[in-house]
Amino acid sequence: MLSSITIGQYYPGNSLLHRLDPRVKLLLLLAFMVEIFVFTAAPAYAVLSAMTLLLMLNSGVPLKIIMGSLKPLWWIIAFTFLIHLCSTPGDAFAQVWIFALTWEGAARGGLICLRLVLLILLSSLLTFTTSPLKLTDAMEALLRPFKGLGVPAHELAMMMTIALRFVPTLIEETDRIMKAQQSRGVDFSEGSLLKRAQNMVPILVPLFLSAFRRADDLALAMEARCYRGGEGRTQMKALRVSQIDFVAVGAFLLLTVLLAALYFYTV
Amino acid sequence: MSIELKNVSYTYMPGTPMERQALHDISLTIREGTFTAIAGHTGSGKSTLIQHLNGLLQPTDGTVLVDGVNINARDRQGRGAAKLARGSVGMVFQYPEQQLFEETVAADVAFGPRNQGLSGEVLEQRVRAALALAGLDYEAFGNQSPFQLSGGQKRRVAIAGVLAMQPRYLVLDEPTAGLDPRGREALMETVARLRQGSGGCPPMTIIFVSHSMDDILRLADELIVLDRGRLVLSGSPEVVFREKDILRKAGLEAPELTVLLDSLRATGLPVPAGARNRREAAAAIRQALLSHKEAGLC
Repeated sequence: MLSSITIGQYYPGNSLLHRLDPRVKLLLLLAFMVEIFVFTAAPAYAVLSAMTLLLMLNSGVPLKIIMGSLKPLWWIIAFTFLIHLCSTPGDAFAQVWIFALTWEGAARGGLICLRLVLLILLSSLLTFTTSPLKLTDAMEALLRPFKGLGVPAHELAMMMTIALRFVPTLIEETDRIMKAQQSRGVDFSEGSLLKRAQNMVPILVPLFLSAFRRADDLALAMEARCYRGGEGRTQMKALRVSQIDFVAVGAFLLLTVLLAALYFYTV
Repeated sequence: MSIELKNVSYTYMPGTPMERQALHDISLTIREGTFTAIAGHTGSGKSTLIQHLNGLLQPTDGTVLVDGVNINARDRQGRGAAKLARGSVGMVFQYPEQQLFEETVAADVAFGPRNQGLSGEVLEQRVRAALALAGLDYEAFGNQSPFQLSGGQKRRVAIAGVLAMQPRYLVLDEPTAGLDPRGREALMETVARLRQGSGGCPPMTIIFVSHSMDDILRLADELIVLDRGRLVLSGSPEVVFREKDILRKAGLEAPELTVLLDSLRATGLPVPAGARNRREAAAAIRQALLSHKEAGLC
């Protein structure tokens, strides 16, 4: 049962993206995002889009699933386009009420929307190809240098790991409790809003109780195994930078040079 | 009257990489008035199977009929039938005490019948009767918080919560898991009593998921064995427990009593078959020894 629930949106696979070191992947994603903001010329965007598409195809995750990550943000994208369409001064091709729709606005809006889409697609590619545990490991590793400044890197990572670890457990538990209460005649899909809110009580009370019980058990188990924070702690699966990571960084640097050339050539 | 499964298959998370078929083409009939046990190794699909009996899960393929009514139709009528089935098929999950939520025992037990639309005097009668059936005294426990009771008592409250809906079929998923030997014995006695019918309550059809082969041999009329989502054996426990090879492949062992009597028989002692509990086994062995003696063999 446990394995049948997706944690986050990780999509298991063995593609190049899956095998990259998560630290490298995270840093490259950040750099990629910076480039999207810096090189705002049309030819540069064409290259960036092609690159994103290539990565999507390489990831082995079905395109339909990746595109699905745009769904919740669809209206923001549409709204952004509309704003730009209506508020950019220039050569108007139509007039709607007090707004002049301009060609410049359409071009600018299109570019901004493309930027949004690329940002969303790239960051969901990261979560699709990196398991949440690896992601937290990477964050801990990247935050470690800031420990001197008082950033509790290990504690943050441990908290996230524990939270992630218990997401499927709690989902399973919720499912079980819901089914038990459904068997006692509750109908979660019917009734007024108030009735539906009331129906949550028989789920939430048992769920909270069991969450607290699990937290207690976990604390006890960690103490019994002498857990005492991150000091001197090693990892069973230590992150290791391999050849493909160097290749990826190299490819990325080449891409940056290309983008910079395209950008300065057009500007 | 019966619960009938026709060619039921169920797949978890279809269309994703996590897709897993939990049930393969299962057909079976649970007749009213019987005590049916379901056995199988962890992950054999027992829990998935029982969730089909009251429409909590809808089969990917096939149909489930409760008293002749299809509870899988996806229209409004079908959903209504599934809801009605939840009244006639009571479901006690594993560790049912974890679903308690009300402030008092009485209020928690009343939750089910209240959802059925009962109130006032009738509701209180139901609660009293259900607590009595589960072996708890209304006066002593009714106003207590369920969270202050012992593990065994909590479980009885949870079972009473299902009994209060007066189901005709009662599904119990490993009801004795995590109880001490005495609590286990007392609970099995309660289950046997429910099956007979007592205290003005008509006999119930029991569907019982268990790892305890001894309990199954002792109580069940019918035994269904699942192995990796397939129905591999069904029939009366005495007959099913003779299929040692299939049982072993399914990750199960015949009950100790059966093994003992079989090994006695293998030494040449003519022990009659059909013993279902320790007392019957002892009588059978005694009889065999006496007849052996009469024949002058020892």
